[in-house]
Amino acid sequence: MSSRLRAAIGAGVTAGVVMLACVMTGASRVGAGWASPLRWIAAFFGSEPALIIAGEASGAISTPAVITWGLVIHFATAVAWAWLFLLLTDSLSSLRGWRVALAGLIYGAAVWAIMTLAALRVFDDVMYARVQLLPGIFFGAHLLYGAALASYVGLVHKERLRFRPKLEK
Amino acid sequence: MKIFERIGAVMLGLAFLLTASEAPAANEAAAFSAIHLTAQAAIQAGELAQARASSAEIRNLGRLVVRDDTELDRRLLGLAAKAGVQLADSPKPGEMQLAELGGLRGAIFDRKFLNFNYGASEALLKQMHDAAGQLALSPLMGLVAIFAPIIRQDQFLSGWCLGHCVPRTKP
Repeated sequence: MSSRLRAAIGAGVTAGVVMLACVMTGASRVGAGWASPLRWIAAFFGSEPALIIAGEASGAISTPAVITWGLVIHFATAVAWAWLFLLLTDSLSSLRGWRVALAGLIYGAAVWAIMTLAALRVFDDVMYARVQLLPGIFFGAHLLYGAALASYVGLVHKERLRFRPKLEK
Repeated sequence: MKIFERIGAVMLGLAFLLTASEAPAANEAAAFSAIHLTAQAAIQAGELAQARASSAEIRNLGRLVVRDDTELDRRLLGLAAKAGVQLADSPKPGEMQLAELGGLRGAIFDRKFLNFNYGASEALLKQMHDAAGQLALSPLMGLVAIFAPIIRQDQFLSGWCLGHCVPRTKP
């Protein structure tokens, strides 16, 4: 496994956890329930029934399965975007300190725009409709994702890259 | 069997629609009140479903309907207050059906609730679109743009549950 892929998994999972915690807390606070965001994500495969299925309906999958699907899709997407962030920032070796943080925030906003305004409309219309109820929370969660990604890259990945040549000598 | 269930749901939906919107909303108060009262009826039915439905999916649908329609109503009340519109508290559409639902349990409740919610969603969608078209208020249009797809999802789920969540009666 390449170091970039390893770093993408670490950064994506870390930033994905931060983002998911923000969205779940927000959804819970507005009365939608903590699991709702995962059900909305799972609607990518399950369409509308993912919003309510709980295991008893014929042909339906169980609630734990819906939540697991939601987690898998969320973290796969988070790692994919983290990989792209690393690809972009690794080529900019001068990107350090506050510049990485700023790049993270801008990247988070860009991911929000692409996911919310384009990808969801095409791939998960059910979630797109629900996101309109909590637009601020979703935007804030993407900014946090970008910030967490930048922090991970700045604090862990870039440091590893900086020390690796010395260690190899 | 499934086709008869669907036809039954559509017929009941149309009956609800007729009682909910007998005349087109003539002004802001009437248009806002129609949406408010239908949302209130749907919320009441959703609360009954959470307590009385035999299927976990239908209890979850009840919870979803309560959340969605409560949020719609909350935002509508905010808009009405800003516009200085006084909303009516009665007559609530579907009162007889709600009273009947209150006395039922089990699979029969599940079926009647799904039919009721299908009709209430249909009425709500029509009232929202009528109000947005007649009043041309941009905040109301924004509200309709956000909530119409959500109410349509709830309506779709009622139809889906009729085919998947309610146990079939043996011939």
